[in-house]
Amino acid sequence: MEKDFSTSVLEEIREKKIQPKSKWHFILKEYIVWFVFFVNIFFGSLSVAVVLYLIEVSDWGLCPMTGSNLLGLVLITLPYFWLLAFLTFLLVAYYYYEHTKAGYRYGFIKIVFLNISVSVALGAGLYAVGAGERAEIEFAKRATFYKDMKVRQNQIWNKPEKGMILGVIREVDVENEQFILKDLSGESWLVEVSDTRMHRGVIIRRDFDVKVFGERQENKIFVARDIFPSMNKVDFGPRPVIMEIVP
Amino acid sequence: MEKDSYIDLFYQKTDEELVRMALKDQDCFLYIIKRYEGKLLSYIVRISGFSKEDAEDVLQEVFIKTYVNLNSFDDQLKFSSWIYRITHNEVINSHRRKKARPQCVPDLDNDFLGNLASDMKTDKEVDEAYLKKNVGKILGRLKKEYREVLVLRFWEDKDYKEISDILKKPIGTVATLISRAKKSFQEELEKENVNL
Repeated sequence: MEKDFSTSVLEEIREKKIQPKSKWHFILKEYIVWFVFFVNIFFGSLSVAVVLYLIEVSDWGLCPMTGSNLLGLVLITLPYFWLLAFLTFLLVAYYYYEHTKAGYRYGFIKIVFLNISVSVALGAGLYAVGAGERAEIEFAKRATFYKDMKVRQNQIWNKPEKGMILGVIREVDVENEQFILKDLSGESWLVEVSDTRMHRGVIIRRDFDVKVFGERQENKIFVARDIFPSMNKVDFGPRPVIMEIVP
Repeated sequence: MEKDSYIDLFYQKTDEELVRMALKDQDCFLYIIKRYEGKLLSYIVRISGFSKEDAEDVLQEVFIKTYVNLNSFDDQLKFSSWIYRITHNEVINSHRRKKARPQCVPDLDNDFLGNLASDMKTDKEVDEAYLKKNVGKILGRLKKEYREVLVLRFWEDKDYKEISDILKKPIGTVATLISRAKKSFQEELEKENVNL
């Protein structure tokens, strides 16, 4: 007699000694999915914190001094790397959320909107406690490509022929009201500050990063009109120990 | 207790009770198979266009996977939605293995046409004979996702929440899919000069 379908399926299960996977297997799987989701939300939030920090130190307010338009400046100096990192973490988080037990119940837009809201809120908190700055500095120390990218992006502030230099102060000569500046391209300049507006936050001392606006003269001399502190924390290379003239 | 009344006792159990019993005693899984084999076999044939033999192979795999994953069944879901989901996934896997797309959907009945026509608020008397003969072919021409939601909604009589749980799509997406599927179905009918 031919066996009915249900009996033959049950016999197949018996013959192959098939057993249900344990409950723990599924619980663990669900926890892993949630864990990866939260890790991605955290790093997405950290990326938001870095973006906020980089916007804070972007010096877009100095746009009138550069002679370029604000939109152009913003587009060039936007922290694309971190925005891309945020987007990547966001999408990975979405992928894992969708793989939770009930993740399919909400549409893409709802989940992404919620993820963005949480990441921005958490990112703002991380930024407020300084985690954005810390993360950016630590990352720049470890990732050469990022350091180089940052230098390239900041070249917009270093155009001596257009009257602006981004650099680090190497030596200060108080008596003659001048200092030596190493710019982003590694060139050294003698900057004269006898008739210069020093803006808030500027300290003329060795290893201080500045943005100098003025006029280029012959023989690597630069007459400064305005000096602003540079918050971008660009790596100007090794900083040699030299005699310091403290103002 | 006589054998028949013993079996009746199992048929009175809910799906969830049978799942709990099957986890303790493998033999109880037989009653889950018996409860669903007919419904799922028809479902597989309708959405895949497989022959009965091929559909039974798929169904066997469905029950084995159901048994293996029995501990992952979540009480918040209807068991029927869960097992239909496993079936839906297994049909997709099977299609991938065969790399084939169904061309026609057999085994049509008046319920499907009636449900579909009344949902479209049209006169189902019109061209019903033609439809009964050709609707399987027309369904087979639809996109797989359209065909599947139409079958689930108008054949298996599943509500939007159940379809959402089976296909693992948000309810809003299910509503959109059904609406588009109906539109696409109607367009196919118009090509055949049939008005529904």
